Amino acid sequence: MSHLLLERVSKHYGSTTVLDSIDLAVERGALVCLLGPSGCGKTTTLRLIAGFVEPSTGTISVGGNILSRPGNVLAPERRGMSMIFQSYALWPHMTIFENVAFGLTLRKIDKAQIGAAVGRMLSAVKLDHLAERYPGELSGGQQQRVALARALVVDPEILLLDEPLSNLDAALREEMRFEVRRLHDEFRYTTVYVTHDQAEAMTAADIIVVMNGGRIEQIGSPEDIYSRPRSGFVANFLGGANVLSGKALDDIHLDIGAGVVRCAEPLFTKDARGAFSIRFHELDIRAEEGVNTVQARVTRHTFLGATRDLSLVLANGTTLRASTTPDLRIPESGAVWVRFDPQRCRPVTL
Amino acid sequence: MTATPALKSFATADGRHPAGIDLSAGVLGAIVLFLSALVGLPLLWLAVFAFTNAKGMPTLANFGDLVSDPDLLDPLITTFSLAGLVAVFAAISAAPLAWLVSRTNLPGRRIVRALLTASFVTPPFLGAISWEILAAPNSGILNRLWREMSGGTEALFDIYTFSGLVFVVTCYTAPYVFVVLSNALDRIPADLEDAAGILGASRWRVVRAITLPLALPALLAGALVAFLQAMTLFGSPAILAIPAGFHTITTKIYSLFQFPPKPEVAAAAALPLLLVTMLLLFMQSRLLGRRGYAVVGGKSGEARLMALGIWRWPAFALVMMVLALPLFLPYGALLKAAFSRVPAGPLDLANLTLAHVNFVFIEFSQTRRAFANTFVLALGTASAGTILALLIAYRVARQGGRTGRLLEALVSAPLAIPGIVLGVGLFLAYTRGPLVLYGTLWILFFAFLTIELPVAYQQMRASFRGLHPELEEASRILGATRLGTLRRITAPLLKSGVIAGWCLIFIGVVRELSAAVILSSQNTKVLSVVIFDLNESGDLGAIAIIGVTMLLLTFAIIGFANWIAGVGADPRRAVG
Repeated sequence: MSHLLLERVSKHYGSTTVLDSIDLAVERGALVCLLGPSGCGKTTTLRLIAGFVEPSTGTISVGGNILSRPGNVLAPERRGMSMIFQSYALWPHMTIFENVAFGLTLRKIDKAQIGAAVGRMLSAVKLDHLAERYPGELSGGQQQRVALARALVVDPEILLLDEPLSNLDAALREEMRFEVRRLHDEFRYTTVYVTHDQAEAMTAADIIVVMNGGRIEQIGSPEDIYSRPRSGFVANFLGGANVLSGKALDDIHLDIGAGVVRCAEPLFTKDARGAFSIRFHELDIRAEEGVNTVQARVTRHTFLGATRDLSLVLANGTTLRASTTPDLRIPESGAVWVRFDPQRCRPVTL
Repeated sequence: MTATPALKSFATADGRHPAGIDLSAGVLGAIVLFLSALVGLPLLWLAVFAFTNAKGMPTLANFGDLVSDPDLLDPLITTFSLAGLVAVFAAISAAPLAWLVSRTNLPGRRIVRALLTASFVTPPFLGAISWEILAAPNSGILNRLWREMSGGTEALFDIYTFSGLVFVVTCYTAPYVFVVLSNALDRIPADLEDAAGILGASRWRVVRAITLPLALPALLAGALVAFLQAMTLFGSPAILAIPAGFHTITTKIYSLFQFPPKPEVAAAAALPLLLVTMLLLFMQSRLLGRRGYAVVGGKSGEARLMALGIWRWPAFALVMMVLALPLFLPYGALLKAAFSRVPAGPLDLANLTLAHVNFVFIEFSQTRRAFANTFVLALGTASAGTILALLIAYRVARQGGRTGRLLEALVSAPLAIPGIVLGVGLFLAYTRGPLVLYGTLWILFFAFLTIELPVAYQQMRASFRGLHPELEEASRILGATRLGTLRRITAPLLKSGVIAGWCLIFIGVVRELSAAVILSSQNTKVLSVVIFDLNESGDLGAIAIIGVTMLLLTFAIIGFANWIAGVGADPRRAVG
């Protein structure tokens, strides 16, 4: 049975719907990433789980006990969770030690035990030498690790992270991505992690939940979501892709206007509109016509070192992006043929 | 990490979970009602009186009197010329001062800033009396010196004139302009100036083309504040204009309460003052909210200081000369008057006396009661006002919504009510049933609370804005209750802001005269009113003793409040 369960959870503010009937199940010990653009409802979902926000419909339960339902929300402090905030929310009037010890002091544990637990946790995040400093004296990365320590030391039932790395610079962010994953492997807390950064989600998550416009688009492992996106949005948001649409001639052939493309999976409905996605590097650019090819014209090419980026336009005006080997040289406005590998053309919902 | 026991949580969500100390509907409703009554009642009675005659019949005759009777029309004209001139002179004198302090390497910049801020603590009426001691035509110290040096009999200055009044009011109004302007100058980001510099503009060109235009809205807003202050001021005109034989609108309103009282004409005269104040406040908020001003407040780099070179010390001397007018000269005069038989007499042992001290603290029966009244009112108003402002700011900052906006409007409304107008309104409201408060300290308490609430609220709101809600949420999610969070997180972080707000109210109450002069009676006199009375009897030595004692006590209490705030606080707080 799932540890954390959201069933038909919605949130409306007046007439605006922020979250539209979400269903989500998280296994004990899993790290789940809620991934999506800003305004997709991922932070609202997190705050609903934390108990800061009351659901308009639906229930949230942990271990079979209902914690939130409309009109009745268990207070955040009684949920045994902990959370890492985007701003870190370190209390500026307390030392690092006091910040980390705060949650333990509320649990009526004797001082010696608290000292030991905080000490262990601070060394786990490599900050034991800074225990007596104040948050204002620490760098961004150090503050981030204090926030991690403060959240983990209470041995939370569920750990919530709200864009925890968005205030760090690029190099530090990459380092901390692995740090989050390392700490998760060490402590195995059931974790819900909110981010808009796909690389962060890919590095950290066991399961990625892609959200858009208050709904869940797709749930799956990072590999699953990347290689089998079910919607054009997911394909685009994770890794980027060309999404082509048109009328289905049968269950595998799609007329995209500039030609007919065959996909391997028989998922189209004859005479209905259909779409498929294909990654930039999966397009095969060739000089002559072949099987499953469509003619295109190169409008711009950009040398990027390891790859060459091509902008292409099809006969009906559709534009495509392709990523090829850098030694491919085609004059701009030159005519080429684009081959669609049927195995790589994945039917998606529009 | 498994040694730590989990919380006794995971109760099912059956039965409502206790909400903690929410500002429940009851408390909120009570606050709204209280605020509405506090602000609404005096204004209502003011309107009623303004539109009725002595027999209680509806009439517009009171306003007819206002524009036709030269006894009323002249004060109106005087008031607006006074306010206009003060605004101009305050802006002219404060602008270079603010620029020197905020944007140059003037020596002693911090001290100059502190001194100017300290001049806020000086009640304007005390400043006016000090200038009487300095520049009264016959007995003034400066005139005495001038006659000794020149050998003539002519007075150099006469403070009992319209220009004398403009000068004194400017002295104690310019600091407002200074504060508004120097805050704006502090926040002009250096890169805006650098951008002009890199394009080839000289340093003076940068000041003229970039810095000044950016600070102009703040200067105008500051001048508007000065205009408002001068227009609604009561103490200085009462002290300087009445002996000179002319009135401003505030002193006229006051005299309409003297025998035979004409409260309905006073109410009619108060209304234009109220309307103009509201209009000016509206203009000010538009001015400060404009696009151009939004740039000021950018977060890109610190303000850069300009090197004055050889002009450093001349500039310093100039600043000190300017500071002499509101601070050094008046305080020197006060101290001299406090311990001299004749204020303008020579500085020698024969002239030295403790007679004023004796008079004030032993012989004069009103002093002790007035000290007690003043400090009881100041402590009471500061404490009640702080709590009220804190509750409202918490509600507005954390929940907002329509109720929040209503609360904010109510609590800010008194900004638009000049003290003398509020005094008239409260007098009319509480000299009749159902609640007769006139003659008690309560009427003064409500007056001071009303006057000081907007400033306290703005202070609290600023503190809450600086407090990220996530700081409180972090505490909740780790297991602290709402109340526990308030005690362990919110309160310590707000402490300095709360103490600052408390001090602001305290200072405001001690220096308030315009409402107090109308509302206090024989047993409820406060220090400002006692000083005002003593001035009418010309007892300058006693005033000096009371004034200096009052200021010392105020500084002591503020120092104590800040010491309490400092105990246990950490100096190294910087919100991460």
